[in-house]
This record gives sequence, C-alpha cells and structure tokens, in this order.
Amino acid sequence: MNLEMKLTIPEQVIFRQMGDEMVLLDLESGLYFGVDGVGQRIWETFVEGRNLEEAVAVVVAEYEVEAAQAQADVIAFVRNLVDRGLLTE
Amino acid sequence: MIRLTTVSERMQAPIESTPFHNYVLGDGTLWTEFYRSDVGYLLRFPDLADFEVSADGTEVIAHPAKGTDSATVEHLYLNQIAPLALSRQGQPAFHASVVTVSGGAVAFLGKAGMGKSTLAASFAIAGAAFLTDDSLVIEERDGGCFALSSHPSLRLWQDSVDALIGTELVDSTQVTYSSKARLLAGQTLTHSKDPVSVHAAFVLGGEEPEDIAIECLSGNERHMSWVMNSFLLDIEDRELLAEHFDWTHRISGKVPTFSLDYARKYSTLPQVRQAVIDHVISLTN
Repeated sequence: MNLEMKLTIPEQVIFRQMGDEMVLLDLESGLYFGVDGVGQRIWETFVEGRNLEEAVAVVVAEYEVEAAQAQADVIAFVRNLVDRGLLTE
Repeated sequence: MIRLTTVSERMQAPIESTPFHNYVLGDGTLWTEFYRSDVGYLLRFPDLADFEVSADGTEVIAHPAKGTDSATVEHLYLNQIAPLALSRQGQPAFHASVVTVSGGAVAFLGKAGMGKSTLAASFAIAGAAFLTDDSLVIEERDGGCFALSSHPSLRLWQDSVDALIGTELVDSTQVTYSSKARLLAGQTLTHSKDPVSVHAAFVLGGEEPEDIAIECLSGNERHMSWVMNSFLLDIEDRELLAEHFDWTHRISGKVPTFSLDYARKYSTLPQVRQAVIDHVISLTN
C-alpha cells in the first residue's frame, strides 16, 4: 500500500459522530459499522483529506506507539475498510 | 397524516414479483412481505390482509383476506402499517412502549418478546399513564423529542393479564392472528393522549441478571439501538436510509438511552419500575 496514496470516502458511505465514537453507514449495502478510539482518529484524517502517511504520523504523535507499529496497524485498519467498501484507494 | 380506506375482503392472489424485504417472526413464521407496486408498496400479511401504501406514505388501502375481522385489520394498521407509512413521510417511528414518569415520557425499546408491553402495563396499572404499546412516533420540536400518543390499548399474553390485572374488569378485544388479549385503556390502565417530552429510553435486552441492571450505552450503542428498533418501510431507498441515519443520530443524541436487563418474573416488576423511576429522577435532578 503506497503511503502517499490519498484514500477517499465513497459517496455512498455516510458517517456521524456520537461522543468519541463514529457510526458509518454504507447506503449501498445498508450495513452499519462502528469505529472508535484510534480507528475513529484515523478515519478523521481521511475526512480531512490527508494521505496514509499523514494518518500514520497523527497516530504516532497522539498515541504512545512506535512508527513501524503505527504504520502496520494503520495499513491493516485501512485494508479492512477498503475490503468492506468504506474507503477507496 | 395518513388516509386509510378499508375495502371488502378478498382472496390473497399470488404476486408475481419477488418481495424486496420480509419480516420473519422468531419462530420462523413469515409475518410480512414487502413488494413494490404501481402506487408505491404492497405489504402482505399472509392469510390476514394486504395493505397498499402510497409512495409518499399518505394513503393506505387495506384489503382484508377472507375471514379477517375488522379488529385485526385495525390492529395491523395501527401497529405495523401506520408507523411504516410514517417513515415515508419523514416521521421517525420505533418499536417501543412508552409510559410517563415524573412528567416525562420514558420509552422501552426492544424486539418482539422482550417484555415491552408487560412493563408498560405494569407502569399503567400502578398509575403511570402509557402513551403507546408498540409504536413510538417521535416529533422533534423546540429542541426536544416528543412521544406521540397511539391507540389506547395494550396487547398482553393471558398469563400477563392474569398476573398483572387478575380478575379486574378491563375492556378487551381479540385479534385473529394472536391469542394475546388487547386491553383497552380505562380505570385500570391509564392512557395519555397528549404528546410528552421524552426524558429517557431503555433498551430491553435478553439478559436476565439476578439484580436489575441499568447501564449507560456508548455513543455507537445508543445510535444503533434506535436504528435497530426503527420502523422503516423501504430499506433500499438510499435517500430515506440517509435521512433515517440522521433522525436516529439526532434522537440518540437528545434522549439519554440505557440498557435495562432484569429477570422476567412478574414478582420483580415492582422493583424494575422503581429502578426505572429512580434512574429517571436522577437524570432530571
């Protein structure tokens, strides 16, 4: 996965924040997904239009985690979202 | 506002198209089939009735099946069709019973069989008026959420009637498809006709702990509780789904929502009532 790649939220995916959690709805499938904690923070970076590398930097800056671990975790999370159609590369 | 027209009974002829959705009861019985039609939708309750619903949800035509009495048609309309039609009008409706506690409305959200009606009946007998048995329609105004009153009746299994009401005289009617008694409001069961501001909602779960458990739900859990207990006629209508997502988000943000678990024993209902009342009072203080 290219770290400079910008990930976009498809038009059919809508999301709302509730406290420190987020609910996503894929209008195409009618399926709902919950995201919280670090996952929510990563999601926010994509909402702000940042790329994968910037998302990793946010995680390193805001959570006590090594850069290599943060990168692996962010990529795994993003792959999961892409596989579910909640993000597009 | 919905205009209901009931026409004469007819045979339920096979429908050539495939339903886009259906409701199946816990025991596997097919309860409702949802079809698209020229006017909007056709909802079939096998062997009971067909209901045509206009695309905008303002017109409903009821076609009773052979042998279905008017009380059953009215009941299906009030508890199933009307809230579904209202969802086409942009009016949020939910599977919940509602009672009044400390001047506010308290909703009990939950799937069929979770005990919503029994709990509402228990409150109503104790003098807390109920607003609805199973379909909560919410009106958002003045920055708050108001529960609208529904038909002044509660549906209970006979064992609940025996345990809660005993031999007291309560007006009742029976519907064709269920052995539940439909009890009409009166001196024993008090009913409120006026909209009441919703102070709290409790999601009735399947757990039965020894002690009554009231827990705060996380943001996502709150939001999904309202989503999962919604009436929504067309789950493939993306515009409506998006609108519904916003309704439920707003309502779950405004109405404090908790889980409520308790042993389903009639003897515990007074304690459950008191726990709910204490909890609601603590929220308002």
